[in-house]
Amino acid sequence: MSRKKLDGFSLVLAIIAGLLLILPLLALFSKVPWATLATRLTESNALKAMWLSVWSSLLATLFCIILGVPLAWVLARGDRRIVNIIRPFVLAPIVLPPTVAGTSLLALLGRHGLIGRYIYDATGWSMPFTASAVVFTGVFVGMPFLVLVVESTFRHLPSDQEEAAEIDRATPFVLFRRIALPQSRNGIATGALLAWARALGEFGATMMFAGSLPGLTQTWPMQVYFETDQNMGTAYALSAVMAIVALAVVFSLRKQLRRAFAS
Amino acid sequence: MKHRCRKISIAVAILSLIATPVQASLTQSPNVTLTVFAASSLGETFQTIGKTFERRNPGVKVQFSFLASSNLATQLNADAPADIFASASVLDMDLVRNLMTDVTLFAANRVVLATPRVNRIHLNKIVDLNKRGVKWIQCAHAVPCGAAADAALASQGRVTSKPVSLEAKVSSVVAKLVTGEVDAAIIYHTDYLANRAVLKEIRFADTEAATTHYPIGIVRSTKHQALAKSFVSLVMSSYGRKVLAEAGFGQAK
Repeated sequence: MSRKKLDGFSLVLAIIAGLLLILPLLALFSKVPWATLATRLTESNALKAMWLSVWSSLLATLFCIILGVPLAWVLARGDRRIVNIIRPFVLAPIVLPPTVAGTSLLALLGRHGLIGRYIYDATGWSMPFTASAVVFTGVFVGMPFLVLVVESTFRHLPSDQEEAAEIDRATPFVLFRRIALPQSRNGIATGALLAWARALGEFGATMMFAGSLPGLTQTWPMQVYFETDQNMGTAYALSAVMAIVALAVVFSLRKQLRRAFAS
Repeated sequence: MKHRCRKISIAVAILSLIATPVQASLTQSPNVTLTVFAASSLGETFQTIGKTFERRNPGVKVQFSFLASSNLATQLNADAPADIFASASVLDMDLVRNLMTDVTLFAANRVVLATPRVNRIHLNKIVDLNKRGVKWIQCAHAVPCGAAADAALASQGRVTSKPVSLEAKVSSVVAKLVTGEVDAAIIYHTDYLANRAVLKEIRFADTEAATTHYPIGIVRSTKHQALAKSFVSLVMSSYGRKVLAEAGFGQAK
């Protein structure tokens, strides 16, 4: 592929666009108090928030995989007419504003929620203000990313092995478990990584549904939010680490990104 | 074609990873817009006063941003374009004192313990917060309503349970209490009054500890000095005091 000549018009706008996207991150890194970074990140509340975010997002990702992969499989292989109706609904959280996600979760699982009221009446327990609410929010906002990617992977599996298995009269479950799953490892990994990043970064819905208590529900992004009032340096430090994580995610998906934009 | 769909879907997935919370947007009026940063607890009263101000000054639009005072102070320090700042504590006004002029106290408020009238667990006194299974919330420690809650609880001295959430601003606390997600919350007396149909209040014995004072001031860099002064005058006028008193605010000392 030979390089084509670029016109000045596109180039200028492209440079503006590029700067618009890159400068904020550069600015963030320019503000990070590197000398005190270690002490800021090891403050009790910062550590608690980072640890909570890490384990809750990983747990959320695990749920996303366990439940999302079968959902993606059904979407890929189910009756087209039904699946086409269901798909937009299960993918909706991708474009849902975080506040709407938070309100919806409260409407479902709050003490007076659609399901939450029965749980509360029976047990006196409700999900808001617990760490499980943080995990649940992560699953809600993260799973659609996994489903989106994995369904598409399932749809594009080479058909030879599957046809061979069908000739051998493999059951549908064996087909899924032994043929489709192993061949889709990369797609599942990509989807899981996206779901994890989304769950890790969720802020608005979590604050609405899970509240904010250091050590229990105050996540890393929430800590950034509260530190902007208290100690901007710490807010920059915490933000920078999150930004590095985000860059690492995008970097590790660079092949998928390039393929996505090359066609 | 199929291949392409997949690529596009991955691209969409990656692109939409970046979700941004949106701050209150400022709309432009045809003539002059007066921007007022006010403590979350002033929401209803200041909107009432703002409407009166707009009626008395045709062509002027009053634009409010209601957030925790500490949050607003941070924004002001970052050169947020406000003309007036009304804070729920002297502490947060002090954070921006060098940006302000004509600062005066205009109201007082106190925190109370509030609980839904209909609730599974009954709370009748402050120490009932220690009852098993009670979920209660307050504002974050750095926010005025949180600082007042801390002081009030310290004065009471016998509450050993901890809140299940430290919310970013008092209106979030009130919303969660009114929707019944928690059994109790420490909110302002004014917030209780606004929701007395569904809430009951339990007062702290030490009124002084539970009280916070509200200063208002004009941002030095305002382009609407005269209008800003006139808005502050309206807040301080007998009409303004009446609106505030009806909502349950106390007199400024």
